[in-house]
Amino acid sequence: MSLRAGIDVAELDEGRRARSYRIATTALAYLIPGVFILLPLILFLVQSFYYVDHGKEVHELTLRNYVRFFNDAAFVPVFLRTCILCLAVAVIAVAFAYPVAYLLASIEGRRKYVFALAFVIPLMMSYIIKIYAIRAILGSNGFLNRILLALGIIDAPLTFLIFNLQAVALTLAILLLPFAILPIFIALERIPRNVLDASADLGASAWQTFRRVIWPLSLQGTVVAATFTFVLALGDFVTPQMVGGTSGMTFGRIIYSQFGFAFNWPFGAALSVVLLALVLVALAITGLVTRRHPS
Amino acid sequence: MDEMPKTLVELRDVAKRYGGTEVLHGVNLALRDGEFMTVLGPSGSGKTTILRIIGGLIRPSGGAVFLDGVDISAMPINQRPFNTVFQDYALFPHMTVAANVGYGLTVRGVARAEIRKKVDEALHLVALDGFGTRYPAELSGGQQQRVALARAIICQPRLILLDEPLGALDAELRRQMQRFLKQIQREIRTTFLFITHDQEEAVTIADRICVMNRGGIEQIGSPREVYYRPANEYVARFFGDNNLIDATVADSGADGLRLASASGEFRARTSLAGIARGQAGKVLVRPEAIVLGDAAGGQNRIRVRIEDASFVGPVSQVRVRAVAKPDLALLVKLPSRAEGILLAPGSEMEASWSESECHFVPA
Ligand SMILES: Nc1ncnc2c1ncn2[C@@H]1O[C@H](COP(=O)(O)OP(=O)(O)OP(=O)(O)O)[C@@H](O)[C@H]1O
Ligand SMILES: [Mg+2]
Repeated sequence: MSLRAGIDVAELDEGRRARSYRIATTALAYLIPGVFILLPLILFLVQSFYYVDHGKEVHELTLRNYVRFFNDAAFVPVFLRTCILCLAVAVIAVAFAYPVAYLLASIEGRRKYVFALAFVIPLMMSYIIKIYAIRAILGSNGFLNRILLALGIIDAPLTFLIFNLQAVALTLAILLLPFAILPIFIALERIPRNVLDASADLGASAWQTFRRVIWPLSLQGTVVAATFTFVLALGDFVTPQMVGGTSGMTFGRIIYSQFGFAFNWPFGAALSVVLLALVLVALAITGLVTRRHPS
Repeated sequence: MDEMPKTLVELRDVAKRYGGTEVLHGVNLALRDGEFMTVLGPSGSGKTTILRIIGGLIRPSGGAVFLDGVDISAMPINQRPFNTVFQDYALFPHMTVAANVGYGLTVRGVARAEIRKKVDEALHLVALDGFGTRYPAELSGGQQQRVALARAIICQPRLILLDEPLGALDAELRRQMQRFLKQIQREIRTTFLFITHDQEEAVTIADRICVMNRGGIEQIGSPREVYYRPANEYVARFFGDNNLIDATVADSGADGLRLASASGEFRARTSLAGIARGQAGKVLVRPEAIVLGDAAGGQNRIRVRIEDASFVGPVSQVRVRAVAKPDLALLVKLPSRAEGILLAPGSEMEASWSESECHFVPA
């Protein structure tokens, strides 16, 4: 009896050690993002409740930045327009990404990863270079206009191609395409070959297999792709600046101007918090949509 | 009862090449309507390839597939009246059990109420009543297996193809499922083509066994035939333990064969046609067919010396060696007894077996 008790104590000890190890690693896993992400965000949140008086930051908690956002006619419409713009970006990017991802995933053998990589490499290229490249294509003296002129299709360069909101949407969609392709490709990749065989074996046509098996099984990845592009587009202020012109004002540019030109950091922080809230809502919706099936 | 069973599916000279390598060489196979055939063979012998060619998942590189005598080689997979049970079940993870089982009817545009009724029937058949609202991930392996079966039988296919469907199950569940499959096959009277690489499984479950090796068929026959009347040395060695003795045909007559070997003369039967005098081959005798002891009286006798005896559960294995020709070793299996086998190593006695237990295959 006493021997057994001894063994039990040893096992208990072992268990305790394993548990404390687990607690330590978990703590570390939370601590690192906590220090590097959460802490700055909290500081930002606090700053959004300060205000600026005669160029000086006053460290008193107030809601006036948020009141200003909702009351000043300049901000809410841009905010809403930016939401719609980014939704459009997400839709365009996913609409292009899905067929590309589908083709990539249907390539036989290992080659598909090479091709997929070819689509992901632009992810790592400098962002600024890509924007200039797009400007060089769409600009009034750009590639597209010159071709159309040379072909005699148009007499004068088209000016609606660039420096407006549509140009921003198109450019963002192109820039963010790889972020949309990847999650969809991975989702399609994860569908077992056998499941598709089973569908055909049970009598489904290619279209029925797509609609009843492939599409539902890749829906989560597609939603993630849309969220990715939506959130990344929301935060972008460089692209609208470079291809948006004066009519292509976005919320990101307004926030940037509060930090860069107006030097009103508390107000900029408040606008950022609003944007962050929108991002969190988008992520929450994604979370809800993608957690429907137990699979 | 005497009429020949109808041929359902026939493969004629079906070959399959991948790049330069031929993995199936001119296979001929006739599946009878309503039979349970198992395909047995080592890994890589082409079992799955045959199944996929019949199912329509891959196209043969040569030869043709017939259904009711009609060439269906070009018929697309979704039009063939065959359904497959895949090894890893291949259930649709995003659909409930009911939606999985009803899938074949759904894509055919069958009315909803009708589908619901048939799904309930199919689930009842595989003893999964009330599981319709679950998702595959919420089922055990055996239950998923039965869902896959229900999904395959709901369209009332002419043939059900099963690719090692029990491979992932543990031994006890496996035996249960074997009985279950056999029972269902009798109930729905559908032809089953069942791949396995488990000999015991193939023998227990099958009406006929197709033994494959290296992309070809070695023999097709009833379990008893492939066990006792193997067509060649490969099949003779493939099923269980066997004793093979080099011999040549000394005389072949209506009453059997007389075989000459270095250890003396044997009398054997063969079901193979065209065995002539002078033909070299192997004499086969199963370890359990050999009787030890001087009193035993079989037509075939050799004087042997006991080497060792070992207890392996219900049978005991005894190794013996021919006294006149020490390089001839035989394995003998006897029913085990509680007091052990009273055969002292080194003692000499007669080993004998009857003519009917003795078989000959040409080399
Ligand atoms: N897509 C393919 N490309 C090239 N070779 C293939 C392909 N599919 C199968 N093979 C080859 O064909 C041969 C037969 O394969 P098959 O899958 O029919 O074997 P099997 O008898 O089912 O084996 P196992 O018991 O391991 O499942 C193997 O040598 C395999 O390597
Ligand atoms: Mg196989």
